[in-house]
Amino acid sequence: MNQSGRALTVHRAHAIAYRTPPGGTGRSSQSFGNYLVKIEAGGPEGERLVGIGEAHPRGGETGDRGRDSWDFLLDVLGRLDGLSLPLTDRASALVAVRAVIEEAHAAARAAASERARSAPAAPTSLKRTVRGWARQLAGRAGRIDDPIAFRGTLFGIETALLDVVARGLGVSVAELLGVRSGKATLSTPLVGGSGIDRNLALLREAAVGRDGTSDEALWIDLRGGLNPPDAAELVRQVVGAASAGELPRHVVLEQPVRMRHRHQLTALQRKADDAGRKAGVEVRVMAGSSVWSRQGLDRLIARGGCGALNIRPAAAGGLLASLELADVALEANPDVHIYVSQMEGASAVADAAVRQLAVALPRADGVRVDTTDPVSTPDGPGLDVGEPYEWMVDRITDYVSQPTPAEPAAEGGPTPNVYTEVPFLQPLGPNGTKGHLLEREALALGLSTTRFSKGAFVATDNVHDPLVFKWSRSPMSSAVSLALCTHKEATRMRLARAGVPVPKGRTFANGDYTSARAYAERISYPVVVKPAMGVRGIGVVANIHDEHELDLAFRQLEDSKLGSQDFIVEQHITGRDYRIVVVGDDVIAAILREPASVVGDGQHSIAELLVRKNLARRLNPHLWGRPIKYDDAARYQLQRVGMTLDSVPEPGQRVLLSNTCSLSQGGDSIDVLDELHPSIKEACVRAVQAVPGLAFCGVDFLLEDHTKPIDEQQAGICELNAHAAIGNCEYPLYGKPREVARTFIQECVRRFDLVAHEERAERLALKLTIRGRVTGVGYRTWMQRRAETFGVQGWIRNVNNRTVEAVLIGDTPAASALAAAAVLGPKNALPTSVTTVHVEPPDVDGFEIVHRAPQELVHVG
Amino acid sequence: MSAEPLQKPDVAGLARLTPEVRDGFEVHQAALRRALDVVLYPRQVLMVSSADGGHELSFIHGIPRASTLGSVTYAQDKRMRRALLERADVPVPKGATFSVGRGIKEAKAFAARLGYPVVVKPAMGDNAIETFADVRDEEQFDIAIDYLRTPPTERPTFTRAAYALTELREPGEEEGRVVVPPGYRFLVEERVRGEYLRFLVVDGLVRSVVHCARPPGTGLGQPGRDILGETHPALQQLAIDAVRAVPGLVVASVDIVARGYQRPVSPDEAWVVEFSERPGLAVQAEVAPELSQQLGDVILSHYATADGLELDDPRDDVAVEFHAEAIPDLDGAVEALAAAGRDLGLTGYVEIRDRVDGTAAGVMQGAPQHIAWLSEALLDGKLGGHRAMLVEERQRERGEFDSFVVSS
Repeated sequence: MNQSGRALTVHRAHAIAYRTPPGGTGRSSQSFGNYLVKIEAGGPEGERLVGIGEAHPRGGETGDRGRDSWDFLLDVLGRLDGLSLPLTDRASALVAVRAVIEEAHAAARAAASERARSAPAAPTSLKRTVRGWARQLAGRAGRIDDPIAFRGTLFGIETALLDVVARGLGVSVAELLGVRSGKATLSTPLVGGSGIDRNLALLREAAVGRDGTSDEALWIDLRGGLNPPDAAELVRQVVGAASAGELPRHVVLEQPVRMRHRHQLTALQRKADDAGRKAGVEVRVMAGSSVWSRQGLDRLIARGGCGALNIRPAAAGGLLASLELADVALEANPDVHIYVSQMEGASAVADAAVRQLAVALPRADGVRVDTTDPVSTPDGPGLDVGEPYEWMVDRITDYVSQPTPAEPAAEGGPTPNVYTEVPFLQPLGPNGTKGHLLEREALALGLSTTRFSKGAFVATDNVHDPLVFKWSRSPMSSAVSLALCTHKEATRMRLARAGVPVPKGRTFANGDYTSARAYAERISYPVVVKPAMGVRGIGVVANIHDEHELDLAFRQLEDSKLGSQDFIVEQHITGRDYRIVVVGDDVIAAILREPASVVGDGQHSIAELLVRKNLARRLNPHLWGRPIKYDDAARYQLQRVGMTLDSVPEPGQRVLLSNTCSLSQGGDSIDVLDELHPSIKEACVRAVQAVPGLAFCGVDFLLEDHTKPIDEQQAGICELNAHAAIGNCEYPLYGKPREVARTFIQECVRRFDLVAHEERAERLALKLTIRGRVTGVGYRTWMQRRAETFGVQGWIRNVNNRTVEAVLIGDTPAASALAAAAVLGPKNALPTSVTTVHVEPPDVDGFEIVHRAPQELVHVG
Repeated sequence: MSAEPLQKPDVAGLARLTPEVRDGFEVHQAALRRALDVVLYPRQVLMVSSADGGHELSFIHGIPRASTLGSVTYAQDKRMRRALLERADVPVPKGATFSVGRGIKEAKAFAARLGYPVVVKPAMGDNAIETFADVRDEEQFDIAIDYLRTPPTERPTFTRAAYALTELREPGEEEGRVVVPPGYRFLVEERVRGEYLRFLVVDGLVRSVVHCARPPGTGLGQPGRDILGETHPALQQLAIDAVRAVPGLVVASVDIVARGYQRPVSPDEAWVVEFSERPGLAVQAEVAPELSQQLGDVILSHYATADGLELDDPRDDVAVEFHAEAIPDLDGAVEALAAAGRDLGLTGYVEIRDRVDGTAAGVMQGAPQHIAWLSEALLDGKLGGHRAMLVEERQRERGEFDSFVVSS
């Protein structure tokens, strides 16, 4: 068959940022940020080809840097649209991929130099200048290599390209690269570090457990933990111990010295060779993290090389760069041993890439991956691995498709709300929003504030006593009200006495099943059984229909961890879960909470729909830290309906992924305020009035239908939340958002007769006085960066060694969020308070770090 | 610090009142004494109403409803409370908070800078408990920190108010031992010298001053001395200013260390060293039970006046209809109630009213403090482990009963 003219055309590329589960790979408890790269192409026969790769941006280790790497990835993927890659034969396909990758490397260089040029001019300091000189000198002396940016990102892009091309050719990635070694041995190093004795002890301990006949080298990664004299001594002692038969005859010492002493590797190898030759032992000094580029390798070879090289494709910048390193090293010394290692935090995708590389290398003496299958020539096609949805589906932080799909919400369900203030709120952390909203509204009404922590601030009109807030604990409600509401039984009894509908129920002594049976009969089935002081639903059995099921529930409770407690029997209310917010005597917001789910469109898999839904949640200030989780509950729900993550639901089909309505477990929030039946509102207000001094409350109501009168359905209030979160109704996923925080603060202003603006200000001019450990920690630069990102203008200056002063002028959401974030500051800062007052907007342009206040500020309010 | 409840010889049950329930108990008995009806919910939520139902006063741990949720939360956070006091120019000892996870080294350096002895206490939660008032060197500092590393619920002297913030952080682990989360904070303060004075401020007025032999909550010492009439007005004003600095507290106790209680306040001679949103009447009860009883009545009366409720004259013998709900072990509880009632010299009866609902009811006659104690103990699970979820006491005409019995 004539192969000429066969090609694939890229028509879409996806970049998916996700965080690995902590300890997910078993090596460390750290969580890493990876990017999954997915390239969709059309094959010669119109078939759909998908290639995937995984990028491992790991800071200095791979030349990557947070947001810059992500932007770079999007830029490169954007350029792939319409790219044609030949599928005539392997060689020409590989040449074409190489050309694309070289272009990407060039773009990386350009982006890096652009980044260096456009970086804000940091105030010069002697320390910084001296560091710059030292770097230059180290470069000239060959101790450090020229930086190559975004290598961890390039690794992912290249892998995806190789995968899609290999699939087009119907071969494995290894075959595309050219199978050479054909197989490799899995190997895991010991993790050493500082101290000769400690490392020796580790080696000896490992040697004891080994089969005496094994010829496999004993490998220890010393992580640059020794100074050169100690490293030399360790080499001597290891040779000695191996000679004496206390250690295996083959030992590999990876990166015994730090980067800046890497030129010592050759000398150390010579020592090992000289001492080992006579005794017939082979101790190899391995270049590890210090040699990741061609330049570094050439420099090492020029000095005489060393006994082994550990190549990490993410540090080298891809599979092709890794192959080049191996070829160059072997050309210089055919006896050099080549190892290849995976980064920590790799999924099955990167794992497959490293395995395929290993068989394509001219030799592979050891492969370090996190899976245990033997390494051999793979069948393909491509990487022979699917998208690792199981691993990442509920951990995705960003998802961009290039080119942008015509309909971003192609899902079958309703369109979720998108909130523009999310970027301002994210720096406050998942719980930061709830501590910030009230302060934002207080500032917008012209009050001044002092913030003590993420959750606590004081607001004042400078006339009356200040109002104190922590989270939604406010001066409007009484301490008594919280004490009553946080006890469910107390709440139930209080509300029942006030004639508010609550599920009937009572507590029984452990084991008193006779009384409980009689009680269930009296309140009539169905009932719920739960431990008296329950946690996380342990031992809870709902919807019990008769005495037989009740007895089963008692057994289940007994067998649970809380089986020795007293227990509660209460009426089961068949209804949906509503949160209704009352401020004063008014219902001001109401949401229906539904279990996590996706709605099919007949095209996308459950995994894809789930990713989209979680991305929509990331654009919601209340839900961005509360994704739908792919956990046991979700697996169980899918299993019940015979589906998997790969199933494609019918258009409009709702697939449940949880059985709880909790928003924290991925539940949906849907605004229903306008449809709420007046009798339900009235019951909520009555419930709140039954609790002394309760001025703000989240009423948890079980209702069959919120549009119907309360006496025509099963209904019951199961909880009153005196310190309810504000964000869930302020930012519903679907339906009309309600101004809960604004109403809350307006009610405070009314009750305490504060002097405040009638109208909410859309823009703010604020002066912040930040006290605590805020100087010498990069506070001003931190604030400047954020201000620039937020579009906030003003200036910042040090007042004394414990005080910084800043002026922020901008839109209310941005300026107030930055004022809230000021209490967090950069990593090493420890602000103790931030006082925020209003000023007449001074004439400023941009956001500057200044030494003196550029103008006199006029306080207002 | 003291791990022991008050052990004064007294009529049976009252001896078992621990300090943290004293305030609620005193207000409870004051209400009965003033011929009011009472409903008591778990964790000392107390609703007091007039016979005509026209007024309802509510309390938590003896704190009236007018104390706001925001203010009690700030009072329980020593860092923020100190900041508010400093803002109001109320003198406080030099101090700073640190976390057990990362702050120990800094805390020791800070203590060294202040100069030993120093005071160490938890930064959050109930006040005037778990205070290490005289940490003399680094060794004692380590002992204090080791105590604070223990999860609060396992500490012998820990108490937690019903409105306290819930600890949601995961506990830490240290060499196999479960410890507080690394973010758990403690306060290190300069130990200032002088006389230790406990002020009770109700509605902007100082209603009690006790000269304490040592800081309350630091161990059993000699009972203090009532010095209300002898305390210099400037010190009283300082206590009032301190309470005003944390807006929204209608009742508070303020501990001041001063060079002398009869001298005016001059710089560096008086400091607010402790502050609580709770009345802390256990201190006055140690001086004399009549004193704490009277102050419970003061708190109730202030609230009643503000609410427009005219109170009856206090009486030392009352009769109430008693009603308790959701009692798990009904038979055992009724027996225990009757036995304790007899011990306390009450008359009347108690009976099972509805076995399925778990309710008991009856009549109790006798001293208000004994009826109040019985109800508080039943709600708190301290009557031989028996517990109810609600107790109601409604005033009634006195009847003729010889003893206190279980009626069938």
